[in-house]
Amino acid sequence: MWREYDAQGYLVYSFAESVEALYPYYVARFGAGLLYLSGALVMAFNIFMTIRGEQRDEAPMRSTPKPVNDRPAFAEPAE
Amino acid sequence: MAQSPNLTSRFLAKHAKLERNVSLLFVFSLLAVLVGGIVEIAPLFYLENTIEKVKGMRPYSPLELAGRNIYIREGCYVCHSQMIRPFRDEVERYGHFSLAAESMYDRPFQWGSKRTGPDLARVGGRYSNEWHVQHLVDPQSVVPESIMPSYGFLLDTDLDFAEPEKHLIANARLGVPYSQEMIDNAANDLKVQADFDADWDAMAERYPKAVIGDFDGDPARITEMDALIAYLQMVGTLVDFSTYEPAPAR
Repeated sequence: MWREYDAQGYLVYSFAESVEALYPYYVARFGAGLLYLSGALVMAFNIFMTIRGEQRDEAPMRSTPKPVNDRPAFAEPAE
Repeated sequence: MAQSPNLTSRFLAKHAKLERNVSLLFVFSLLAVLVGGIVEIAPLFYLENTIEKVKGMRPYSPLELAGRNIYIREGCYVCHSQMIRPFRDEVERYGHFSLAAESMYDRPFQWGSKRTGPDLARVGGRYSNEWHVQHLVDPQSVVPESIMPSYGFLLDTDLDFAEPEKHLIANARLGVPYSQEMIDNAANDLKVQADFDADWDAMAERYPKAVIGDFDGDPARITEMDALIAYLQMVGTLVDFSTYEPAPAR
């Protein structure tokens, strides 16, 4: 829209018209921004609970076929 | 390479050491970037002709500078660029494309990059003061499609100008050619620019083309609205493009 010319060589749209045309995209952008923000809030909550030392209550995975595999992937730091 | 497989493999072995040591790799890549940076950037500080000198450019008057600070404080640059690119559509919409010299006294420059709103590089003189007040208080009342928020509080906020000379001194230290005379008269220059009945002859001589008058419709006060509009009304007006001739290509 910014660069559209008519047959006489005049600009077809004013700047304000391009703002109006972008309106639905700004609404979509607002929604995307909310998603992003909610992700950040979840992460902040996660970090807060981690700092507080909260651990989730977790039952060992009983669905593994062999009991010998039912252990942490790394028994010691990977190095 | 065929003649010296030894040399190649020895070099690669050395390079492997670099690739496997993060700290060493960081140090060497920093050195590499540094060389490129110095070669490209450093000469610009010493070249006389980095910025083409253009007639008409002058430092901002104290009131304009205060308005510019409000422009920066309110984040106007987040939506408005001040950089007309040399494209046909931009030149037709906004006017002559921006020259490097036109932002030579901008600390920091306000080129921007997000063009949510129209470019403001030549907004000076395009609208009346009353239009600007109306538009800043209620943008949709003059441009129905606008998505700009209201800045009506500028009208109610007295401009904080206890020591305008300090802003001039700070700019002077960064290389903006404010004279001692400009610095000494800063407080008075700021006041008289917002009052058409005041004695502003000396101020107008120091700052040619400065727009003088009461900007916000309330002569009794100098508000932030006064300062911002004083700034907006001079943006891009200093260079007279009817007489401007670009310097010959070097």
